[in-house]
This record gives sequence, C-alpha cells and structure tokens, in this order.
Amino acid sequence: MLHRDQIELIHREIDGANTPDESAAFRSLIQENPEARALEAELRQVTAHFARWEEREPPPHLKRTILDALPPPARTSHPIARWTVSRLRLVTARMEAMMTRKALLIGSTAMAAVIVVAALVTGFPPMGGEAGTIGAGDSIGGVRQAARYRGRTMTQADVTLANPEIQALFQNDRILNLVKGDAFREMMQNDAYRQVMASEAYRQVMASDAYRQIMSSEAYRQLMASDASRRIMATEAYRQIMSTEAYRQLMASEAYRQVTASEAYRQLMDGEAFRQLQSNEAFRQLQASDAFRQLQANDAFRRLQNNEAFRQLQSNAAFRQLQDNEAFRQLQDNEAFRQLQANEAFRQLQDNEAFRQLQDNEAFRQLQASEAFRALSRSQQLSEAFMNEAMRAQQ
Amino acid sequence: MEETPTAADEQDRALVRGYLEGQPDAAGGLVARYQKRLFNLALRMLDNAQDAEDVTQTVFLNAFLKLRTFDPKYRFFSWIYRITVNESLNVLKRRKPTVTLEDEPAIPAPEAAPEDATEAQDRLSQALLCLKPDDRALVVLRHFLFFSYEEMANVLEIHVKTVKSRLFSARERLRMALREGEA
Repeated sequence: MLHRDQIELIHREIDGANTPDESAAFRSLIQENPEARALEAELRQVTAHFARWEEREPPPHLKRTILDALPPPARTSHPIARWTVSRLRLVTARMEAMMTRKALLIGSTAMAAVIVVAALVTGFPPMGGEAGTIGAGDSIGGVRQAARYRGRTMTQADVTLANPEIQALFQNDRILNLVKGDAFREMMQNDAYRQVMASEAYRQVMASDAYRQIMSSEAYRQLMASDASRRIMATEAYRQIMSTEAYRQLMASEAYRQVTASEAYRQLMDGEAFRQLQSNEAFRQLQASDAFRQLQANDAFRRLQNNEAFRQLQSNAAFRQLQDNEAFRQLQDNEAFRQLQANEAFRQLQDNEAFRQLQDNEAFRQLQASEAFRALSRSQQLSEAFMNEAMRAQQ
Repeated sequence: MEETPTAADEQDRALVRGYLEGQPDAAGGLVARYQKRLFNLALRMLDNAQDAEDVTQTVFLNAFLKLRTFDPKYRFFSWIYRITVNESLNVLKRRKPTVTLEDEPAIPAPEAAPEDATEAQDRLSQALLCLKPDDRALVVLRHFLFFSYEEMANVLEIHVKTVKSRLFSARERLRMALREGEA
C-alpha cells in the first residue's frame, strides 16, 4: 500500500514539479515498488489522454463582436447600453452564420427581419471597407488595413508589374494560384501576419541563406505538418521558454547540439541510455553550464519536458533530422531568427490554421525559397507592391 | 503576491497601458492574444461552444471595463484567466444541477463526444465533466493550459497546497473512472 507522500511524489513527477532529488527518489520508488509503477503508468495514461485534446479556433466573428462592444476608454456610454449592443451583435453574427446554410434560407423571412432590425441598431454588417483597405469589397469586409500598408499612397512604380522581381513571381502559375487562394487571402487580412511581415527581424530572417534552406527542406515541411509540433507551439510553457535568455544560450551551445543529436539523449527516458548519457563528456559540459542549470530550474521548461506532445516531437524523425541539419543550426544561431521566435505576433501566426495551410502549400514554399521573394523581403516597397498585385489577382 | 515578469507579461502591460491611453490597436492586441486561450478554457469547462463564446465575450467586456482597477504589478494573464474561470463557474451554477463523480459516475455529457474519438477518450471526457466544477477548472488549467501549481494558485486564489491536494484527488478520480471503464 502506497503512502500519501509516495502518491504525491508520483503526481508531482507527472507534473514535472519534483526537484532533482525528489525525481531520484521517484525513480527508486518505481523501480522497487510495482504498485507505484502501476500508479505512475495509469496516471500517465490519464495525462496522455489530455494531451490529445485539440485546441479549437474561436468563432471568426468573436473578435469583432468583442471589439465592437468596447468603447475607447474615453467614451462614456453606459455599460448596459454597450452590453445590449454587444449581445445584439453576437446574435446577428450567429444568425448570419446560420443563414449561409441553404436549408435555412427558405421560409426564414422572420429571421431576416430580425437581422435587418439588428443591423439598423448596431450598424452590422459593416457597409464595405475604406478605400485601400485590405479586403474592401469582399465578403469579409471591414478588415482594417495594417499599419504597414496604411498612410502611404502607393506610387505607380510600386503597383505595376514593371518590377522585374514581381513580374517573375506572377508569371509562375502555381504562385498565381497560391495568391488567389483563400489561405493566402486570410493571411493578408491577419493582424499577426502583418505585424510579423513588418518587423525588421522577419526581413532579416527571410533574407538569410539558412532560412531558405530550412524552408525548402522536406524535414521542415514534415515537422510543421505534425500534430505534436502544432500542439507544443500553442502551449504557454513553450511560449515562455522561447522568450528566456537561458533557452537562447542553450540552443546556441555546441554541447547542447552534441547531446541532442545523440541517440542516448533521444532515449533519455530509458534508464540504460541515461547512464550512457551521464558518461558522455558533452553532456557533462552541458550540465555544468549556467544556461542549462537556469533552464532546468525554469518551471516552464520542466512543464514542457513533461508534455506528451513535446515528447512526441522529440521522437519525431523529421524533428531529429532538422536538429542534425547544419542550416537549422545556423538558423538557431541567427539573432534575427531568435527575435522572430520570441515575437508574439510570430507565435500567433504559427498557431493560425491559414498560416499552417500556407506553409504546407508547395507553391508557398517555392515562393519563400525563390530568389525573387528574397529580393522582395529585403525591400519594403517591393513587398508592398507584391501584396498589391496579389490583391489585384484575387479580385 | 508579486510574480516574475516575463516578456509576455511585459507585452500584456504595454497593451493594457496602450488601451488606457487610448491607443486604437491595443484592445485588438489583447483580444488577439487571449481570445483563443480563453475560449478554449471556457469550452473545456462548459463543454458547449455557444456558452464558451458567451463567456469569452463577457470576460473581455468585464476585463476592459475594469482595466483601470487592474494593478500592473500583478500578471494580466492570471487576472483574465481568473475572470474566465469565475464566469465559467457562474454559468455552470446557473445550469440545472448534475450528479458529480463523487456521487455517481456515468452521467452523459451535455454534448456528444466526437465520433472519431476513442472510447477511452470519451470516457475520460465524460468523467471530467462529472468532476466538481472547481476541480474541473484545476484539471483544465493543468492539462490543457499547462499551468504550474503556482500559476493555478494565483488564478484560483487558493494556496498551492490546496491546488496540489485537489488536483491530485481529481486526477485519482479520473484514473479510477478510466480503470472502471476498462474493467
């Protein structure tokens, strides 16, 4: 019969909350006690089920409904009035979604009347976009132009096909089809995407050789398409880790690379492999480094290591291939790449379904790997011109 | 209790400041950062997408209305998650009472599990819905949002020891439910 302390020790190990000494005590316990082993296995089974929970996208109208309900802080309208308006908008948005189903269109004049009334009260849906607004006139409507594309009148030189780089891109049928596609359109209307595109770090990364090599590699494509990598990137722990200095130092260290590339590391959970690892010189160097100790003491890192999706990722063949790839290492050493990874907009983007679709798209990868696109990435004017042409192509 | 600032916290503070100073994009930035996580937290708590949507909207509205009273020395994310958990608990209280795992197992879920989910997954999801709402919140925060004990304690405003004891008990009940299903 297990004691309460022993049960708690197992639970804390499952949560990655034990100190190194407690973890050692835990390992001894499960080696010696079959009941403890069984409990650990069952609890891991429970947590593994949770790891399969899928994160769902909120309804597309939710953000707009929330923002429409919010006044700027200076506005003094009554909270109840704002609340009423917000509820009306929510109802309207839901009805709009329902009305797109053909079956509901027939005989739904009463519902249509409610929508018209709600629209009069709330001003929903928006009456088209501003001139020059991305998405103006299309079915989405009202998507505001990103800061990067606002406030500057495009010159003729920017928007015509006279630019040879842009001309080259648009002569490629696959790229033309890509920019006409829904995923690309959605990306252009995505705030996070536009923030990332406007950042200096993004431009530097896009222009680097290492990035191009990675983006055009099969391993990267497989990795980005894997469920484990998507789930892990969406976790709070991953986000926290990516923003720590210790993580950056560790990723850049030679010892870390040697260790993570070793077979023994990959089988860390296996007792024999762990013993091999402890006799490995590179692993000892790693353990002695300040960055490693900081990271080990970091709660988010422990949670990440304990995460089922993270474990899946580490055992993913494409992930290993990438880690062994020289270009990937160069990219991780690249300061701009690190800045980009720590950038909140970039993280949001990675979590975005349309962005994932784009990344899985062969034409998009071809586009990113092309010489012309690199030239575009170096020049804000040219990239704006490309976006303008892409929007024209969509119309 | 003051918490260690992280880059994410700094970004939150900047957006909160921006909103209070009238910057037009600040509210959108906060909603973009949190809407998905809050929606999913509410969804796991309530097992109903419509209710989760309502809760997310209510949470943001309440949060923005009270933003002037938010003390920036605390973490914004703890604050907004706390509002979400509390609002979800309020919705659960307003629903008609259900039997919990502590009383009697095998209560059908309010919404059917996806068709392609495994039987064990269904059983665990149903068992989760039968936990007491407060305990369900702990399991969701730990296993869906990967919060630490300290973060859960901050969000739920309870002691870390209480977090551990309630989380461990809840997980034990889920383990037993899973085992009973397999027997």
